[in-house]
Amino acid sequence: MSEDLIIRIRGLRNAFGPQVVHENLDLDVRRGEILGIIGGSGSGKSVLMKSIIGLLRPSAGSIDVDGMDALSTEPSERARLERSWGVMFQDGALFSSLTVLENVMVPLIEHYRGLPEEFVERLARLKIALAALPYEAGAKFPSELSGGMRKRAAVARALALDPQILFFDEPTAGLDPIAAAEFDQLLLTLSRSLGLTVIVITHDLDTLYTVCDRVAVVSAKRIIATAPIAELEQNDDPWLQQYFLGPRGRAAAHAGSNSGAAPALPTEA
Amino acid sequence: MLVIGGRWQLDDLSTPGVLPRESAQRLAVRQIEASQLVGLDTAGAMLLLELIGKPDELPELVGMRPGDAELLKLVNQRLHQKKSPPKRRDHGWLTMFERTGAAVARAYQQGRLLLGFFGAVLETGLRVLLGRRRLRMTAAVHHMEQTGLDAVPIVCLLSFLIGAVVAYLGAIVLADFGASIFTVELVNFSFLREFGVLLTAILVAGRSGSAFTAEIGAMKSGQEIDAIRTLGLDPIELLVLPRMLALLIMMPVLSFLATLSGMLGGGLVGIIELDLSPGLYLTRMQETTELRHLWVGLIKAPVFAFLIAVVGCLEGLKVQGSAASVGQHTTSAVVQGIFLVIFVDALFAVFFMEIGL
Repeated sequence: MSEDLIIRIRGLRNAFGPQVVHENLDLDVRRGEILGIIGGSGSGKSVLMKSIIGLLRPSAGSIDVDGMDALSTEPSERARLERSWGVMFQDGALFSSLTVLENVMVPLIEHYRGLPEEFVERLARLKIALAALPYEAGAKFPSELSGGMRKRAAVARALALDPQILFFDEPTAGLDPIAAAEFDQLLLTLSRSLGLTVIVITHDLDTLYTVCDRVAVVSAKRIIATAPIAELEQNDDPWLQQYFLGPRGRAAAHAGSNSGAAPALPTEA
Repeated sequence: MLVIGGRWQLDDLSTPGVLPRESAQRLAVRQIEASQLVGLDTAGAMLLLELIGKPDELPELVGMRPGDAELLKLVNQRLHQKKSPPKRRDHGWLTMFERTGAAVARAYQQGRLLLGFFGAVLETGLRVLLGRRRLRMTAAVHHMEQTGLDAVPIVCLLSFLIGAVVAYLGAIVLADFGASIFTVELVNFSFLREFGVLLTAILVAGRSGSAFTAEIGAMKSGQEIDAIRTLGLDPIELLVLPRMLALLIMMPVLSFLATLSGMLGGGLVGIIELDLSPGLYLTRMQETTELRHLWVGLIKAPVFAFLIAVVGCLEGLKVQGSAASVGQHTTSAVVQGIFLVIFVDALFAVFFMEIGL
């Protein structure tokens, strides 16, 4: 069966000195899916993301992103790679000296010097609207925004170059349940309507149940399973058992099944 | 009907000449035929929607891939979200007045805050004197070492050098009047009355005032101050008073040392440059320089110490949130500290002149 894979990782090895984080790790991400990545604290979820987006060079293995070698160091290839993904860091990592609008404009201006500034500004405003931020937010500085809005602004910036893949590092951490639920919906909307592949590193069981098509489990230096969440619940790995069948897991599963399957095109408030 | 094809993507739009002009005519379209469309992204969708200037309903889409149609719908929905009228950025007169007004209001607020903090510190100090609050002696001694002892070399060296410079100036200028012997008075008067304490205050404001702000600011952004309050303790008693006490004690000492160093530097240059014997120089000094000049200088030291400590601690307590804020307030503490010191020094100068000291 030939799946349409957008990311293909084979034999990945990451080590910091004598401490090995990943050993012989394989991961497939299908085009257009929302993949959750879970694992205990310190299991190397963020390290995995960093090695895919090239912030960290693995000591062995291969990573293919959309048919390109993600470990390539050739400048033009790197530029193409970097345009193919957008990243939302945990607390947004917005440039504090720029307004939200300018934050979104930066990647556009830097990557496409030929575009007139006025067009870039309109485009950036669209991205801000796509991230479900109010129009006025564009003129504000990151320090004037709430945590949830900062994350949305970071999404707008990640969307700037119309990437194929969006990475989210703990998107709902530090948000109240309402904001977190809204963020989940935003994620769904973007993925479905823009046809994005989304990779979410999260501890939030609600996000896993409402948003993710499949979930990859990082444990013991490898991906021990990648499957829809219903299948993972049946997995007899002790860590997974505790993860999903502990009190919090059961509550989230209950809530997830109550609300029914996510609608095909959810609309946001 | 509008027939579109090819790639409507950011990569292609950035090629010069592809984007339509701003004045391009809006097309009234009922139907879009898009079977030849190869790629569409949000940038392309925005351009397309702007070309067909009909905000509410999308034209009928024929032959468009479902994914692209979905994208177009979302972009259409978000593109025409209600917008508050964009605030015009006006760089004219109005903005100037607005910003001037804001600056005046800020200065007023800052002044009020400073006076309020003065009061709070004095009150806490009084309670300590009455024995209702504890004096944190260990902390005070620690800060005396940091702000006082550690500053001795730099304060002395700088004063020595400035003393030498003043003596050179005096020797050159006064020689034209045949009055180069007055260099002795110039050096001694200026250091006893002004430079000794002023130089020290400026150095201490830069060295210790900023350190106070940074230390307290880091504690504030780490919520340590909040923790102190919730434990029923008083940050002014715990953090501000020891620093203030340390400066109040060390500043006169430093000023005295600075005055001596300056007079030494000036004297050395005077003796060499004016060909005076050390004995003659000292005699001249004894004849002309009265002790009251020293008191006129030193009496200002505790006042400056108070100002620097209050401003430094207050700016530290004003820090909010991030590390960037610590930097801003540290800068502000140094600027305010030096400004206040020089301003108050000028007031002192007028006062002493009027009462004939």
